Amino acid sequence: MEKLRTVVTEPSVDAELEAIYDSIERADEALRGFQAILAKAPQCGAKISEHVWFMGFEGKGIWKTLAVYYTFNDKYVWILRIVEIKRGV
Amino acid sequence: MGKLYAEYDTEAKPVQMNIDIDTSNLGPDKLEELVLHIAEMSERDTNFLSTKLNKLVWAADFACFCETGSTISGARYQREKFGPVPKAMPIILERLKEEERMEFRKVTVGTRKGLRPVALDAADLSRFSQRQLMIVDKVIAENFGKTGKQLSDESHDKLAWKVLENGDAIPFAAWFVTSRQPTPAERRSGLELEALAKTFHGKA
Repeated sequence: MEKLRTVVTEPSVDAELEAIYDSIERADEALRGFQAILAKAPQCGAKISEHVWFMGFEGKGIWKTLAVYYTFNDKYVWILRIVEIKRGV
Repeated sequence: MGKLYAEYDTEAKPVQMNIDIDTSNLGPDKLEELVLHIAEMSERDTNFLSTKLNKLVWAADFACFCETGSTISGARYQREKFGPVPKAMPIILERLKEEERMEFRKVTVGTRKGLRPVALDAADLSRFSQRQLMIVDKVIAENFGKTGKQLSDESHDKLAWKVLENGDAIPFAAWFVTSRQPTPAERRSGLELEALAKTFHGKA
């Protein structure tokens, strides 16, 4: 069984996500999606630099498309930034 | 007024409610009626077996989640061998059998043997909005005639499916997470975060 890491989001990241969705509930729901994957397998993302990794979120319907930037060690995943990707751009 | 059940307690029995609270949004009751409705609507689908029932419940809930931000049943799901399954499904199916609202018939479809859920009672659709019913009926129609395996194969391409293990909770939004490569612009944005990322490793 894969070891679970603790996923840490800074208040600034929570604020970014809430601004994207204009709803705390939806922001939390989206975050739960990332957390489920990142806690188990952060290495599934794309490595951008020595410490920065990237993962996509292809939202459908009311769910927006996002990109998450993060870093991790063997105990923690720190979400650095979440940005909205405008569809068709 | 709905009946209230404990979601995970296999010994749970219906609790008679004598206080005036609205339980119409609670998961298990709506899940029970959703299961029954899907079984009713799939009566003529020869490929409708237990696995497909699970697949259709998930597909309907997920479609509603995409369209409205919340699910139809309110159920929580976990990863199982053939796909996401509501955690409360074993309790729901047992209760439907006990209440003689559903039965399972042993059938052979081609070379496959399986159990076909058969509705013996009409679902109480008053708990669902018109929009929810339109979504679930559309999902049933779109998948009519498909086997449970064909529906499973669609799930198995998802990153969440590959990463999570049997028994793990599956938040709906995890289904959107992908391992796609960043665009050049996304890569540049990421590079700007290297100094910040480094500080976390310094603290750890």
